[in-house]
Parts: sequence; structure tokens; C-alpha cells
Amino acid sequence: MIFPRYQYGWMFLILSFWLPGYGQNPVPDPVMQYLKNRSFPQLIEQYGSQTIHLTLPSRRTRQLDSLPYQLQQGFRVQVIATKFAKVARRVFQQVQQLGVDSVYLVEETGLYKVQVGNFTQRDSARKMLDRLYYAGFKDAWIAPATIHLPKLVSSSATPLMYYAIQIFASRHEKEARKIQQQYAHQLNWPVWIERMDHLWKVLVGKFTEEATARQVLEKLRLQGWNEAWLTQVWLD
Amino acid sequence: MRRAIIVLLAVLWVAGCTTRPPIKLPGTLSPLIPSDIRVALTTTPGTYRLMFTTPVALHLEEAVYILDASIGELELQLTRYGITIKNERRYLRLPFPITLVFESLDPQPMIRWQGKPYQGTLTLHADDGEVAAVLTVPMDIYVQSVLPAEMPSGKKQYLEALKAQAVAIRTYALWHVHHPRHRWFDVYGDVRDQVLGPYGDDWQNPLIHEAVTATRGMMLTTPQMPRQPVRIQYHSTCGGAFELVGDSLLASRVKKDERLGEENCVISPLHRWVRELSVEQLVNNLMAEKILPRQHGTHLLEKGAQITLSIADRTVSGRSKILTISLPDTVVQVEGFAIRRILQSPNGGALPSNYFFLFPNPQNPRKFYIFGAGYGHGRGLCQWGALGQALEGVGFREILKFYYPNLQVSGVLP
Repeated sequence: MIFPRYQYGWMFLILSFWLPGYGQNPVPDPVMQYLKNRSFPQLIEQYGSQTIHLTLPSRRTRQLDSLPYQLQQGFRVQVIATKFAKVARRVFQQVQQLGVDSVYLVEETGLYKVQVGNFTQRDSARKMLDRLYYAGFKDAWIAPATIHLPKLVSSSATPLMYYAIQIFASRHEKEARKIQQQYAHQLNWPVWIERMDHLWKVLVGKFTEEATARQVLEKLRLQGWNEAWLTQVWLD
Repeated sequence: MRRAIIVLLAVLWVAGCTTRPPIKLPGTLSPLIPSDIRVALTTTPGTYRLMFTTPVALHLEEAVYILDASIGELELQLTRYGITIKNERRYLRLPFPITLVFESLDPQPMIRWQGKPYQGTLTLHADDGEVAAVLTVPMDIYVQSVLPAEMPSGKKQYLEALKAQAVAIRTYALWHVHHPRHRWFDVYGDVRDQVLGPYGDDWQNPLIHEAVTATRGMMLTTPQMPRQPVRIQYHSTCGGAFELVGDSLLASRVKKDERLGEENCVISPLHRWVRELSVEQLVNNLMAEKILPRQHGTHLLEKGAQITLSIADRTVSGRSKILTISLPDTVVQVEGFAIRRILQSPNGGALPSNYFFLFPNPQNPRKFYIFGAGYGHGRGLCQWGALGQALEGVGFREILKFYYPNLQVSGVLP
């Protein structure tokens, strides 16, 4: 067994990879190793009967999701609103030549509008209004508009698994809960229980870094938890 | 002295004139077992490239045509209305119903079909609505053609597995000779039965040759009927458990593919696999397979929906038997191989096997994972498992006994 602790873990796999088709992207080693090291009939017995709930979004939602930005109500500086497309296009090019970001030529309710910027607050738009005013666009004004904001990207992918310190294990849930409640207020880290292969385990902390987990393990041992050990737990 | 020489010569002359029993050619099969098999190269109407590498005679009412390599490649059109054979100089058009037998004038007939060389005698059929190009091949040549297409033969240690596979191929073929797929042919030459590989470099592979010759005439039978081939199945990779088959295809028992605690097919590239699928792709697949009416599917994609998936039933070995898909206003049930097609990813083709479980993607409710094991239906011999056992030094008879415990290896040579 390469990962002996896996056999005790929930296999709630959150995979931070994209696998568009077989053989194109290698499956991360830990996942494949996990699958290889487990008896597949056992996995089928454990997970084979679960129901998967899926959400099929509407076409509109999918379209919005595929945009590189999100839509939100905010403010833009509107330079011109005219019925004549040619005029609007000329003004659009003039504003572009100023070197400002986010210049838009939009058509709404039969009017061609040249708008600048994406501002969540009116005050932020005012600076752009001043700049355009001094550049010669004296009729520009601040208008409420649907603005484009960059999508927030999570800074770190959710890990596949955590490190935790196992301090106790029992076949009986009651015993495990009692230990959990007993030490939940005494330790500096969250104490939680997890059922793994017919055993109820009391675990301390959820650490993404092994080194951090080892430091905590050392501290626990100094506190008298000589039997505690480091384990890996699939995210649940 | 002279008299003695004359007597000796007379004795030799008399002995030479006595009748002797005919010499049996090695490998002559029992009269119960036909020595040839008819393999369908195609049953699809279309245009094909054909060349006769060795001379053949085609007997028609008006003439006997001799066709050989000197006339070059021919264009063969198989249509529902007849057969057309042509090249720049020749044009033969024969309306249905027609059967063209190309009688070989060479003891080792060779053709090139779609540019690939095959050994055997060609017959073409066309009847109302049906066509077929059928190659009649001696059984050993057939086994030798199928073996390299069915199993890797790159390592010397694979020999025992190759022998086991050769016996399995022969058994499968012999059963179909007695139970032909069609009145024109016994087996398909593709994945519907056993893939007929072209005559090529693999034939020079001494392992293939040895595996075929060492198991010549051997097949799997029941102990009760040792001269009757049984209907068997085999597959690429079981993933840890396979279903036993024998004289009946009803898989009633399951067996772990393990030896000394280690799964035999762990060396297979598809021992374990993972696929990811989006719910949009699932709906598209349901429409493509005509399980979900296009109008209904398009409506779902337009308006969105909550969809649930579950495996409603599994086989004795745990392979998915029925997949239930709950959609708004309807519940769809998909069975058997269709499950593998419904869950195919855009670039990946059908799932390798039905041996899988579904897993949600908690980060994205539009997607889910399919964690699977093995490749194929999971019944009978596991090819990669046999290779794994061969690497451990297990003999082919033991391998066959492991995967077909209710069968025995019998010889069909007289």
C-alpha cells in the first residue's frame, strides 16, 4: 500500500483538474493511486448506489457564465447618445484615441451611445468625467449602466485532501462523540469525527500542509497524546 | 551373390507396390470440426479497393476470368442492386442476387482488401438489400490473424497468455462455425466478433507463431461433451472481478481476478480510469442516442433543469445494468452497452466498461465524475489478467482453468 491511510478516508474527491477526454490529460497520481490501491468491488459497494444530483443551467445562464466578466449595475460616463450611428462611431474613435480603457459603443432603444469605464460607485466615475471634460467632451455625463466586472477567481484550488491528527477511534459512535465533546473546548484546533470503514474516528484539525500538521502533532504529543498520529482525509 | 541382389530388388519392388494408408497431414481437423471459417470483411454497401495478389479464377456464364496482381487494384462496388468490379480496362456489373466465388489457383491465396493483405479465398454476395465480402480462411490462419490484433505480443514472457488467448480465439471461432452469424458467413472480422488482423509483420513474430502451433487443435469444452466447442467470451481488462461463463452465457458467478492478493490485470492501461462529464453533454448524448426526443432535450437545454442519476441495477460482479436518469416530467432508463454511450465524453468515446460508479463534483453541480475499472464486458478470460499471470510464470492451461473453471482444454485433432 502506497497510501495506507487512504483506506480509512471518505473518498469525496474534489478534483481540481479538467479531464476533457480519456488519455488527453493524465489523472493526478494521488487519485489513480487511491483507485488502484482499493478493491473496486469494495468501492462499488460503498459508492455504487448513490444518487447524483445535477443542475442543468438555462442557456441564458450558461451564456453569462461563459463571459470573461460578470454583469453588474454600476455607472459609466456617457459621452454621446444619438440616433446616428455614423456620428456615434466617430465620437467612439475620438474617445479611443485618448487612450482610456473600456470604451463602449452600444445601441439601446434606438440610440447609439458611447460610454466609458465600469464604475461601481458614482464618485469613481466622476474622475473619468473630469478627464473627458478637459479633453473636449463637455456634454459627457454619468449614467447608470450595466457594467462589466472581472470575475473573481479563487486564489487557491480546493485541496483534494486534508491532513489531520487522529487521537481516538471506536466502533461506537457514542464513544467517539463523547471524546469529541470532551476535547472540543480544550484544544486550539477544531475536533471532529469521521466515520471510516466502520470506525468512528476523532480527528484534530484540517491542514492542507503536511508540515503544519506535523507541528501540531508534535504539540499534541507534548500535551500527552502519545498515541496520536498523522492521517490523510479526503475532503468531505 | 547376383541371385541375392535380384531377390532383394524383387522384395523391394513388391514392397513398393503394396498399398499404404494415406499420410495424414499434420493439423488435419476432425471431420466434426470444419477446418475453414468464413469471415465477413464487410457487410456494408460501399466502394472498396481490392487486389488479387495471387491468381484466382472467376467462373461466369460467358467466360472464365483469371485475375491476378498484374491487373492491379480493382474498384469494387457493393450495392443493394448488385456488384460492380472495375478498373481502367475492365468493367463487370452483375445484378443481384449474385454470389461471386474467386477460386484460388494458388495453395496460399492472398488478397489486398482496402490496401491491407489478407490470406484466404474471397467470396462476394449481393442480394436484395444485403451485401457481404467474405474471406474463407483456414482455422489456424484465422487464429494467427486474430491473435496479434487481440493481445499484445511484445514480450517473451507473454507466451503462455498468448497460448491461452489462441485457445480462446479458436473455441470462439469453432462455436460460430456451428452457429453462423449469417447464411453467408460465420463471424464478423471486426469487434462484433474477433478482429481479423491483416497479414503483416506480426506474422513474423515467433511468439504468435509458437502460440498458435503449440495449441493447434485445442479448444475449450465441457467435460461432458469434449468434442463440442462451447460458447465463450473474453475481454480486455476486468478491473478486479470477472463473471464466469461456460456452456451458457448466463453469468451466475463472479470471481476475483487475483493471485497472491494482487490483481492480475493491474498492468492494463485501463485497470482504473476516470472520466468527467457535464450535464449538458449528458443531455446531448441522450438526444444523439434518440433516448430523449430532440424537442424535449432542446427545451431542457434552453430552460434548465434538475437532473438526477443513479444506477438502478448491477450485475453479480457490480457492473452497471440499468442507469436511471430522472428528468423533469420523465424518467429514462438506459441498459447495457447504451449506458457506456450515454456517458461518453465529447472526445473520449464510449466508456471503457460498465464497471464504474458515479461521483458528484461538489465544486460544480453541472459536472460529475465517473470512476471506473476495466475495459470490456467483464465475462470470461481477462486478457490483461492472463498477461499478468503469464508474467508470473503461470502456464496457459492454468490460466484457462482460472478464467473458465467449468471448462477443460480438449484436442480436436484426430
